[in-house]
Amino acid sequence: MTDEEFISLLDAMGAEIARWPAPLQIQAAALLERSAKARANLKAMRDVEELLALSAPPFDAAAMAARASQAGQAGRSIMTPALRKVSFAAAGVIALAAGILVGITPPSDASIIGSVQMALNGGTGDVW
Amino acid sequence: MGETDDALVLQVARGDRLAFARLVERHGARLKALATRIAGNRAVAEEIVQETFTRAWVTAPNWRHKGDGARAFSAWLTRVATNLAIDQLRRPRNLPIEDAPEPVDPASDAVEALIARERLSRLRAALARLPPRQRAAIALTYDQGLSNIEGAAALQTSVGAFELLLVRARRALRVAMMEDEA
Repeated sequence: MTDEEFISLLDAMGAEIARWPAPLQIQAAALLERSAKARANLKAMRDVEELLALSAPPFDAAAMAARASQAGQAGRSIMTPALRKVSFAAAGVIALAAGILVGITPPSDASIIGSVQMALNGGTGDVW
Repeated sequence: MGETDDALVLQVARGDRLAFARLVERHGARLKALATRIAGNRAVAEEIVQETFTRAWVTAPNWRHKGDGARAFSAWLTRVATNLAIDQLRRPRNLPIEDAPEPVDPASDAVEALIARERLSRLRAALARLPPRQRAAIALTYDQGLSNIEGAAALQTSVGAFELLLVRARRALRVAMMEDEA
């Protein structure tokens, strides 16, 4: 295994070498013994994955449930300007979907919803 | 063991706010983590999560379990939140990336804590430079613990395309961390 092959595997499978296929684990271990470049790249990937594993942001479930259900019951989205454009598109989708989605699983029929939403959104996004 | 998501959604369809609260409690924190990672801002992430659950409330009467087993509703929430976050990320804005998840202090020693904070700062900067879908692939894999198949479904793309996003994202983050070490 070369340094380049090892680095490609790192990018493809991540730094947890124990989860790589067994033959590759053996080759990687041998490479790491002799290659400082391989060790440096492994350390960098481990740093990335360790930092990504750090804590989650706080979340108030009760407050969120109250706000979202009120908004849903009112038939509107509560969005600040940063997301308002998306909200308008969503409102249009919901309105149209009321006629389209009867008897259809809403989230899985991406082709129909996507077409509607693309038209509403100027083709910029895939909200559903 | 509590009620299944589908059972709760059925109750939500009848206007049951307690059932809705249980769904939010069950899925909200992970959606917040997902949205925060992609959007890079907690306030925006909060809006994304709220919008996701608002849509869940509205959609509940039409919800039909289809094909994805017990995780269908969870997967749908993930898909909606991911798409909202990506869509938001594509819009011009001036929000601070620093408002990403804070770490639990990973080091007891002050110097180590400082180093850890610098490393985290470098990672955040590198994440901020990733294209939205690459950032989403990282969030779905590392924050949500999804398989490539599940991640691909959340991004509504093929498994191969998802894997490519993940490879490119990992490469960019790895290189960024190495450049900063040099």
